[in-house]
Amino acid sequence: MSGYPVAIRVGNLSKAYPVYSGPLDLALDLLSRKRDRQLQWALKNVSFEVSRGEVIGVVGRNGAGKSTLLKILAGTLDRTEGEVEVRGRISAILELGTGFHGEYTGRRNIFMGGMCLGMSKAEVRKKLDWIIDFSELGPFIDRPFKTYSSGMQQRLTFAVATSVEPEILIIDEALSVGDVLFQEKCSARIREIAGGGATVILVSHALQSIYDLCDTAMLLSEGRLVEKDVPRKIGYAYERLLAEEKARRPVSVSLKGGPWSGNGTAQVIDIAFIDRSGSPVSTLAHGENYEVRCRCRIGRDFSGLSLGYRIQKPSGQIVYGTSTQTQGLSITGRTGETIEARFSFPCMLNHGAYVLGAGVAEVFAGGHFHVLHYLRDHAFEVAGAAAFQGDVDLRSAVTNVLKCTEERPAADSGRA
Amino acid sequence: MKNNVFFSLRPQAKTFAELAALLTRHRELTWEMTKRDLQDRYAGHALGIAWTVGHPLLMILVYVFVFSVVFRIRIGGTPEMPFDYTTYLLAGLVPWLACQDALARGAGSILAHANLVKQVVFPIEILPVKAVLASVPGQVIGTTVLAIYVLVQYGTLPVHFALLPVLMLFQVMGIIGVCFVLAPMGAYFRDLKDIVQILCSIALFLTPVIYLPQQVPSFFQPILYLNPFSYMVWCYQDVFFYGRIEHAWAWPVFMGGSVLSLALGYRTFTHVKNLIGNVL
Repeated sequence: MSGYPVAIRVGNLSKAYPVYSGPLDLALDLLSRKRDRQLQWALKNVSFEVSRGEVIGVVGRNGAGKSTLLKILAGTLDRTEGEVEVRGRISAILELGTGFHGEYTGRRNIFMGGMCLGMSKAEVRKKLDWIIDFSELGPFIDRPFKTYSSGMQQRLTFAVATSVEPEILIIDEALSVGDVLFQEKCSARIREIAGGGATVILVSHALQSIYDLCDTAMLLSEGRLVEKDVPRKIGYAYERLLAEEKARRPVSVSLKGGPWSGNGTAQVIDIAFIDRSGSPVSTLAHGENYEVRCRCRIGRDFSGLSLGYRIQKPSGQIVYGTSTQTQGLSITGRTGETIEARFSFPCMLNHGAYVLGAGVAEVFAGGHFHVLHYLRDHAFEVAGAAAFQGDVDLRSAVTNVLKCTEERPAADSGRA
Repeated sequence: MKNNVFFSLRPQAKTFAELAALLTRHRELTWEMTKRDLQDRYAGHALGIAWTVGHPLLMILVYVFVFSVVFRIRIGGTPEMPFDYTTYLLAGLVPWLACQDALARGAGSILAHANLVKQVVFPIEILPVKAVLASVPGQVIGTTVLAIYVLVQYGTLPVHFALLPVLMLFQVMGIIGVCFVLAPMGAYFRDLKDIVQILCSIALFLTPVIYLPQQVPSFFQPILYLNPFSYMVWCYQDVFFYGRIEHAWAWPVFMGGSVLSLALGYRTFTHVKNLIGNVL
């Protein structure tokens, strides 16, 4: 990668937003030329380089400075300190639908949107067929944009935005729209653009799309660049960061009046992993045996109750879950009781950060249930080296290795 | 140091070259944005683009009715002023209405296109420019009404009416300059667009459009001379009403002022444009 010329060089970049309580504050500031306003640092001493043709993903929590960074790179925001060097024609999709007007037809919007993104009319005309084709809007292209469904609008705006052939393409969250088929199409298009030698900077909360699309990734946290490395490593670092955050700031999902509040009739009060010696742990070792302990307090009489737990990735993906009901156990509850359920837990998880949550539900005749309370605040980590891919060890083992002597199929040998 | 940058000639020439290059590079986009500005105003309206003609026409008719018919103001009809009051009124009113429209739209132009400013790599210099250019058709229509009126009333069309493009060129340059300053300010202070509209309504009465400067009390006259728009209106009146150079000093003030306004406005704009993203 170092053989390619540098497309973007950022050195000690910092960005501060002055904190104003209202427009009048701002007026006073401009008039008095005083510079003692309280500053909010969105970026602090960020330095990195991106080579030409590199696809780089940016991850981080909300407010980590991702969008600020992209806007500075795109030139729509000024910087407070540091240096930014961007070489090549730049195009940015920071938001879908820029330059579009609902009253006009899809066709007119293609022209206007394309020109707003820096193409000439002739260039748009050349790409018109491709855009209509990509957006799958053929029969509707001469109808007003406002009559389109939101999916159709997104397809059209993405098609227009990526029809620009920039040397540097900046994309902020644009892939989080549309259905799965459309997302795949978008990913394919971005890969195509990158394949053509363009540098792509991509912000996404979906780690999978970072893994799929990017050569490198970087993690921002509170305005600082934490790490820049291969996407998988950054993904792990990001999930660990999310887990730490969760541990520091327990989130009890017991919304008042929400579906999980249960009107205080039953509440999960404790949840933990217990090791062999009986003490709670937050770091597990792969292959070891533990227990999940879940306690809840009962506020009224129940003829049917179920206690369960769930393991999730910090990004929200569910890894595993089970409950007493799933396992065919029926529990009754009486006012004032505290019920403890223990589940065996052979740790088959891959190393990384996870979140353990526990819930209590009322079970009705026929197997229907209603969640009364769910507590999702126990972050834990699995230590040890990965000896398999994915999140759960399915204990698949090599059973045999053979040398085959048959002829290979003609099609295959032809390609080789 | 700032004074050097702003008032010496060489950087001014460079400023113009820069702006001219920018607008040439984006001429298609500027043209499309101007067209769209006009269409956007009436998009979804039943009468659509007909409003572009109808709106200035109705405004003019209202003013002519109120001041010529209701108040019966009488100016002209003498050897020095061969045309009548309606001609006098329209000569100043038509460019003034165009300026008023351009200023209000120019002041709001960045705010109205906040997503373009924030979200894409877009030459935002175009926004105030197209807002002002979009006021041109209304003025052309208004001037056509004036020309038709003169033709019907007097049977001739003075040859110096052909000076209109020159006057409009300087007018547009001057107003673009003002809008280059107003537009970023409008992004910071959203109240600005309303303030501009109110000030414009007041300024009509502080400009010699409805009356002759001689008709106002002497303590009021300095205001007319302090108002930069008076000079523009005098030039228009020289062409469309007097038919001769009646206000000789108004011409250099108007033309020089317009060029200076454009140069200073654009310089100011380039200084602050990167800061706009912070407030939208």
